[in-house]
Amino acid sequence: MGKIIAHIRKDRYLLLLMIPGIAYYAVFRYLPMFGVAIAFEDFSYRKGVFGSTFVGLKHFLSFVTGPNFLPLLGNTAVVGVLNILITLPVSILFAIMLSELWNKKFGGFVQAISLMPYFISTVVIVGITFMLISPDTGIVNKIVKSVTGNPIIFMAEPGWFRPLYVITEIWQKNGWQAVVFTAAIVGIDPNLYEASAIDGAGRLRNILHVTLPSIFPVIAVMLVLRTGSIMSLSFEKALLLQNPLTYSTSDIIDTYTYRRGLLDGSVSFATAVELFKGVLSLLLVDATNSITRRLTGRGIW
Amino acid sequence: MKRRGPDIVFDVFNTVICLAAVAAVLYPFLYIVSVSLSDSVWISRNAVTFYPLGINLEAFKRILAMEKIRQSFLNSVFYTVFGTVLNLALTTMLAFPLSRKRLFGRKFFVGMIVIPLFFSGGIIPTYMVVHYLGIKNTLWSIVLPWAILSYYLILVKTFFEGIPEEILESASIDGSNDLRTYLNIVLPLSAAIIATVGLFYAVDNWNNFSNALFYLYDQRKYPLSLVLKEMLVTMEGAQNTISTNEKLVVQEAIQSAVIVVSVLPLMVIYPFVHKYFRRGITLGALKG
Repeated sequence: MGKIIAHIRKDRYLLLLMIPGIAYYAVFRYLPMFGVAIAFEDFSYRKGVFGSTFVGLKHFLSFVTGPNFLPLLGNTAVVGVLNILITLPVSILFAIMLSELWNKKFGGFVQAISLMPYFISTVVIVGITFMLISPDTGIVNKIVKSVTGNPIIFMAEPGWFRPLYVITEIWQKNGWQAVVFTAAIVGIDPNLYEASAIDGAGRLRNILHVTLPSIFPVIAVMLVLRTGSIMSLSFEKALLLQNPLTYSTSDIIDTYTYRRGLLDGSVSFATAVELFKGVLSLLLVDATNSITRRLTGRGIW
Repeated sequence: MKRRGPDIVFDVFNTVICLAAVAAVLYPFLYIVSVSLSDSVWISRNAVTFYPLGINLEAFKRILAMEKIRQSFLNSVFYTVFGTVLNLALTTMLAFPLSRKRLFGRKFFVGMIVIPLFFSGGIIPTYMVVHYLGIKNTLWSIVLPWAILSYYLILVKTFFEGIPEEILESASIDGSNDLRTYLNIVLPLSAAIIATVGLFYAVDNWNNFSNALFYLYDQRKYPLSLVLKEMLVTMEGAQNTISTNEKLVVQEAIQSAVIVVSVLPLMVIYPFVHKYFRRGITLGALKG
């Protein structure tokens, strides 16, 4: 016991420094976790967390058996999987192409430009997108009209939500993702390439047999991380891109939670939905991690 | 390595693709700037493609005259500066002790900051906390909920771990306690990481609109990002207007002008700070 006290005393300034940060985590990260208790109640502001009636799994059941469950889950899953399936390979390819460029300065320039959209807010990205696809004044429809004579009203058609989501994701995030892979590629032992050249391999062979396998661990980690966030698709992007006409494809779990919880006031129900999503997300990450680890010997844990 | 025929084809192909990528990334911005500077007559005829037609500044005059735009711009500046300073202070203060292996309870505390990376309370419970703290519709509801991001905290902690223990030990031999060491030695040495993480936080603060959306109901406190959301997505306040000298200013012109104004600060500093961004992402990647 004395040793513990002595240790604390020795580190007292360090511990003091940590107080504001720990307080933040306690209040704004962990306290809300306990707030999920309201998912098991019929919460009312008047009665508060402890006074509201306990209802067990009622909200979970009503969500799972309700009319929105499958569409929401489906939308969230489809958009999430599509997103990873398309953006991950694109950024890997892009990173490889960048590193293969003969002129390194040009490569640096291209990378700098590709990184730029990441720092533009989603609101601006969506705003620009809307203007580009506008039926009357957008350039996309100008081209469409000259080919088919009629504009496509992208925003009103559910079928366009997913492509729009993925394309804007590429525009916004590809540069960022590619930097991660570029960093990994730069770290590859040059001797591997020399050995491969001695064996008579050309550029393409080099890429397939040296570059890709070498960065495979990084790809695996990225895959696991991204899968974990399938469920937490960019709430802001979906919220901005959607409108009641396209809910059949554009409504995801988070936007539904926002609508029902903060706008409609069904807080217990919305919290139940979100908790459900969180648990599903954790299971997904764990599953992906196990699979990746089994297949490649590498995972996050 | 000798450059053979197929290699040259590959290089040309590669270069063309990369140039196309650059064009694809830049074109939308070019289009927006062109529209914002164009005469509305041409915009309605869908004639603007790569450059402005009938250059005029009507759109910009119009939006700068809007109280809403000026006020929210100032709000955003304030939130960003105040928020980022708070972010950096809290993050470095927490990261430094965690970087010292001798810290009492270190494993526990590190675990404590890693868990929120994977699991969080959610929108509604967080809203409840803000509500019961009584800080809704205040500055605190904007800057506190995301005061520390675990991802950035870990970046800073990793950097601090790289500071040789000898430097800190020699300081304590000279009579400095941990607090003094932190202020006088660690912080000055960490200018690079503070700049990098500070930039990340600043960009997040400038762009974020969720906190404002959830917690603010006083329009005069809105940040630019939220005003943007209304004007661009729900089209409020951006309808066609006739400006004072009776020139028609189309909705699209107003919207593009607003976009240009909100993106300009970032565009201007980007060439100078881009290397910090790249360093930060790389650091995060290697750690991952």
